[in-house]
Amino acid sequence: MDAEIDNDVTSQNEERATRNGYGLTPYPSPFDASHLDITAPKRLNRLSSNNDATGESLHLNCPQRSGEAWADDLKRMYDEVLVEKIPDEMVEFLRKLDNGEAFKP
Amino acid sequence: MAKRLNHEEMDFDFKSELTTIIPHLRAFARGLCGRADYADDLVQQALLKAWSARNSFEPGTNMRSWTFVILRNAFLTDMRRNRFRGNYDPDYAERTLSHPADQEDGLNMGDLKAAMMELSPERREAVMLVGAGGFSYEEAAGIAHCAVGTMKSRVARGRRSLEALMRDDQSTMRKYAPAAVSHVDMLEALDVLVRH
Repeated sequence: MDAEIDNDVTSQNEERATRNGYGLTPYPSPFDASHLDITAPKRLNRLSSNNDATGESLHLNCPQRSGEAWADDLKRMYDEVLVEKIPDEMVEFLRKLDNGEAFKP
Repeated sequence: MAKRLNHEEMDFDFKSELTTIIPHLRAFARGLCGRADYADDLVQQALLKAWSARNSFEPGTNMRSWTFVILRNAFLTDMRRNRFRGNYDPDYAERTLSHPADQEDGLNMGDLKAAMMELSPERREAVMLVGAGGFSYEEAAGIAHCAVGTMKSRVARGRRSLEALMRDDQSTMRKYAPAAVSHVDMLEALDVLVRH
């Protein structure tokens, strides 16, 4: 059943991509991780939620945040740490690596 | 002398690259354990081990993956020693939110962090690596020492569990708080949520 829905979605995406003239990847190959941009694909949200016969994600219609939103949050949670200042203790720790002080208990 | 200089240059290059990886290590560690203080402890452990093993690192290969493996091993070792109990501190999470001015935004981020900590470590790690860290399935599988198919399965199940948890209300989040249930109970609860 899911496979059938996937095929439908894939062919719909292909048609839409052709019609609109943009390169929407219809379905990822097993070795293509680009579809893992979890901020993007509704297909994965659909697969991971309670679906009705139309394949629409039921929870997207509810007032709570959609799957895409939490996926954005997840990425943001990670990215926020990237821009944080590295603690002074860690910088000092790096300095100590040179002369072996960091290895002392 | 020339050889020694070359060695020093290699160490310098290694350390420079290692320094650029630190923010990623901190982000990954925080995703794994959910606590900034413990995450930084893990990062320091990983840095120490990476520095000790620097001669085994092949320049030109992916240092981020290499150091993530080291950090992950440090985390697993701590888990086995029961140092880390997965206790999620909502007060701490709220204090460390980056956008406190946006109340709803902050609540959602807090919910996400709480939900992440309810995932099994394997799924949490998979979601962090692939969903947040941007690793491919192959790279993530290499870091987690598992088959690519296993990694895909973990990511898919982790996503489903997270979506279910994020859809759920606060009372359910509290009901399945990690401190209150065993690991097995938690997985069963997640499966129930996913089925619904």
